[in-house]
Amino acid sequence: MPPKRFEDPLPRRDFLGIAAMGSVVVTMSTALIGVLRLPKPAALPESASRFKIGFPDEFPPETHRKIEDRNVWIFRDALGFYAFSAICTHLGCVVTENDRVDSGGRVLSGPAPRGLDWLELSLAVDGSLMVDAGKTVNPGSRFNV
Amino acid sequence: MDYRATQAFRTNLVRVLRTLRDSIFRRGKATSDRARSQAIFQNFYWHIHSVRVHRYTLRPVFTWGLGAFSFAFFAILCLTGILLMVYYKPSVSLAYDSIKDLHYVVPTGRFIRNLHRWAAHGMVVAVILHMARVFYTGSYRKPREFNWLLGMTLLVLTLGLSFTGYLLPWDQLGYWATVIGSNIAGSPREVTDVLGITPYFDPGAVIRQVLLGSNSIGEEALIRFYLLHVIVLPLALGAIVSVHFWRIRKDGGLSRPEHADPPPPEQEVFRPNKTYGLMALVKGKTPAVDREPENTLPSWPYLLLAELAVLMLAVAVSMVLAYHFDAPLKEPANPAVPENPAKAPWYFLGVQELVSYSAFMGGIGIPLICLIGLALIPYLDRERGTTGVWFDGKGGLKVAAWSLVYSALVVVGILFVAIRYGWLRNWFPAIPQWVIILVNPGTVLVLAFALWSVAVMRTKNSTRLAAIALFTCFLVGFTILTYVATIHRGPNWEFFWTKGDWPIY
Amino acid sequence: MKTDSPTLGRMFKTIILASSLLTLGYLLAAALSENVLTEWRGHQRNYRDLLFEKADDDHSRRIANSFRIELQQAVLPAVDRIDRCLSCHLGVDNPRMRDVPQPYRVHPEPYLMDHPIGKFGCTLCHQGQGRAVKSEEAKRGEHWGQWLLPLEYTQGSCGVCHDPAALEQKGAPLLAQGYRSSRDRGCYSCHRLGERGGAFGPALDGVGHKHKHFFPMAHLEGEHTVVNWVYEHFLDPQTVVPDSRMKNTVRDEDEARALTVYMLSLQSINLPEEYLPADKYKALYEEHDPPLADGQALYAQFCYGCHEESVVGTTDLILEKELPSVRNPAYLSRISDAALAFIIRRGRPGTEMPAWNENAGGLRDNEIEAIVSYLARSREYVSEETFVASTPHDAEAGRALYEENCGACHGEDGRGDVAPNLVDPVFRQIYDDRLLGLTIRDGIEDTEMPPFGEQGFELSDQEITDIMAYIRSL
Repeated sequence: MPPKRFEDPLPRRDFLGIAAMGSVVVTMSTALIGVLRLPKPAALPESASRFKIGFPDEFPPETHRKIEDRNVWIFRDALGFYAFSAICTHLGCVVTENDRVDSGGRVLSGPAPRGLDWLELSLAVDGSLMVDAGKTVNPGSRFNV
Repeated sequence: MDYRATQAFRTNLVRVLRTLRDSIFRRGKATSDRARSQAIFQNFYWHIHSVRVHRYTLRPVFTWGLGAFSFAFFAILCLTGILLMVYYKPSVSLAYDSIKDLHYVVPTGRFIRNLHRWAAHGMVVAVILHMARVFYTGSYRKPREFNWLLGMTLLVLTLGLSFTGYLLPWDQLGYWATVIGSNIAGSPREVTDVLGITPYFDPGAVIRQVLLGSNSIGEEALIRFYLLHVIVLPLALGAIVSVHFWRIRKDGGLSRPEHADPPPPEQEVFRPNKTYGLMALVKGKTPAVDREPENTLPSWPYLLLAELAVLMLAVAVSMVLAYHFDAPLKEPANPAVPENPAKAPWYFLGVQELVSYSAFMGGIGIPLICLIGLALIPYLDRERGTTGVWFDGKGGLKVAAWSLVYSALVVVGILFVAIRYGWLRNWFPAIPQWVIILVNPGTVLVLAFALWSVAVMRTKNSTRLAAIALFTCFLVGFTILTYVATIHRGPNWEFFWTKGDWPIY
Repeated sequence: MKTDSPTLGRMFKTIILASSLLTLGYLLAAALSENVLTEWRGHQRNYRDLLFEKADDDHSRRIANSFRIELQQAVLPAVDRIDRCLSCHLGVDNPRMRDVPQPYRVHPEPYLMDHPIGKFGCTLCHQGQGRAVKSEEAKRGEHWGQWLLPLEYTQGSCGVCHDPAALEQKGAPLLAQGYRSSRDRGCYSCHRLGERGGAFGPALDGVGHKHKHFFPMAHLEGEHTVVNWVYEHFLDPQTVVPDSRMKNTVRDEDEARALTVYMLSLQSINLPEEYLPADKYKALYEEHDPPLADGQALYAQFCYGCHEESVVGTTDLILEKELPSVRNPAYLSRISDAALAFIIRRGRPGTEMPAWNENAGGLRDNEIEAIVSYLARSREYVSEETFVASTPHDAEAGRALYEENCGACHGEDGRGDVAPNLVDPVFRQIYDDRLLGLTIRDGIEDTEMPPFGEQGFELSDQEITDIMAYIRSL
């Protein structure tokens, strides 16, 4: 008997086919998720966002100091310590001392949408003062040792 | 007021997802052959397939899917390669550290690099086996000669890709393998030295300088190898692969023997006065009823399923290997401390074994002879035999088997002599270099293989059988030399039974 | 094989299903081992528990609460390093972690006070593979040259930035001891370091940062590490390197250890200015413009390695020859200071004695003069004796006499065998008739050179002159 001219239509319930295609989709999606994780580095090739700046008694009251390589200002007034970033909140330029902000980091003029970010201060395990450039706190709050 | 346009707009808005889908996938589920055909030729990516594929082509034992495996590995390599480029820095001072970071801190980095490594090995293996399949099934015959040539080009490009990738981590392994490779490229000097013309004409040095951008391997060489590895060679390979695929269709699909199709019916139903070529739906000009289509299956879904199966197998093999075996990363490259033994990647170790006898002959002469010989096969053997059958049936299988025995004995014999008793220079220390270039274990092997092939041609009165004999010898030689160089060669390229016998350094 | 469509379809689908399930399994396993089962995550979980356990006030509880599990690293672009050791050694700066097991323990004081991790990281002092995040690979990576230093050798790294001599009382006594030994034991008689030293052995620059492949490990018993190699090699050079020509001069294992520490400090890595303390600047300056040391110290540093005390005859067991006894009173009684200085400056070409002038061994003229004046301290008297060469002389007759009396020690060709070379240009220039004649006639007391004149082998002045003529004809 010569072979049939036309193939049978695909079986209606093709469990094997559905399972095979399903597993391919699931597997490839899993692989894709893994692949998508690659471009986001787990360890940045730069210094950690949290860094120690010295012991509290190195900062006398009513003084301020700029941590140059980190672009962070440290202030100590009668209420306590505070720190804010010198990175402008508009487009990331570095603010200098007599730019358009005051000693609280508030914008005096210019396009910046908000004042400079106040950064979280904490005490490290060894008792030194530590800034976390990755965490902001409410402007005006103070850190006390 | 007539609000029809607004109503239509509202309806369209509601249906936008469905119409979007329909505009992309014009047909629904393929339940008829017609729909299946359309699924193929209405899809940009799939229309490279013919809409129907011969049953014989789909038999796994015919192709073993080797061509598809090669392409699947290539696809994996492109993907993982792009991912590696996110972190890799092609600079002498940064490359090694960037690979270390890929290994240690980049999410999935180590796994992706391992995948890249294993898929590269897989591609080389698959390409070589694919070539063997095409040869042994006689699929290089007319009209497929040119596609065989394209395949040879792809083989060379594959090896080139693999080799250029070797240097990139800038570790001892890659550095010294590249030293060897670039010195092989510079080995025409051996010939110009013999001719005494090196001071005036030194092609070896020119090739080396073009390859390395300097006389030593440094920043220049790294950036050149990087360029070749990520742009030039992949683009070239991609372009030629497309032609390779296109030619498969234009040459009438994969080869198949006459008997793959049943004899034509005794009486044709009708013979029209005028004939029409029916695109790719039916091959030939006669819509011969009950003759053509019944031995074919629709490419959708069968060919696509077969290809997906190969792709997933390639992925699975690479995954398993990548999970269990890390890609090597040795010490940072150090020109002051040679690796001993410094070995090229495994697929070049057969060549390196020959190089240990004569750099020019082993590294350039014999490989060139092999490549030219392989390229000429379809033009020198033009018998119209049983195309599409492994070994042309029993006769060819017998010749192949005897060639295997013969070539294995010859290779092992010559290696035994060379290893046990040395070669001409050990016996006649004053012997001039040109004698060594002409008479060394490598050239003796080539001669022995050629003589065998000629003998087969004469006794069997067949160019096809002679080709089978020669090709088998080539494969056996390649395999044994690669094996010996991989397993039994140790420091100073001396022979050792196991790595445990190596002297400690 | 059946090639009807249902069979083919089923087969392909089965392959697809099986291979994608296999792949999925491996993907999940890989994801699990990379994201959950990593060694450093386990350590960080343990450390968090320790933080809670040790927390005794609000502040420490806050720290424990805010502890996040993530890779910790010291990024040090200035010294081209990233040290991830901190991902497991989490308590290095936490004074509460005193009595806990490693890797959580606090770093011993007071090093971190002056060497903040943010600037110095870990591997600058401890070596090891900083980028690794698996402890085995961090400490002793199979393909990593600088393995973690054993604790007692860590002092070696102090010498990378500091002047070793300045650390005697400041944390690195072993390093200071090794530094002194290296000068007292005459290491630089054979080895060059920086601008100065002999050329008989390999130079010592960067020896502490060399890859282990530079060291022939074949005959080393015990661990094949650089530290172990250097230590064992000091104790017994010929066992570790069978054809080594290095003298075994260390006193005991302590000295071998101290010298090993000092060798580890010779790293030749370029550190940025801000890493170098004042004492190093001083040491660097002195390296290029050394203050004039006294002759005895210079002799110990640059001559002692070969000549040793050199008052009586010295047999060098490795060279298997007699070395000139440069502090022998009889020798010094005849030779002038200028001649000694000339020999030191020019060396003895064709022998193991190198030239020590500023372009060669690196000694300046005033240092060579200091060494000569130290040698001259052993001169007990100045010989007034003379030797008058007879005329005429007969080199042919001298040849027979030479072969009979001298050749056995000085070599048939005069190039020296167990006794010194008699034909090199410096010798010819210094040994005039008087010096050569007296030396042959009267020998050198307390050395292997016997008198050949009337007190010994009874050669006449004529015969001695013939021998001299023959020697000069060689």
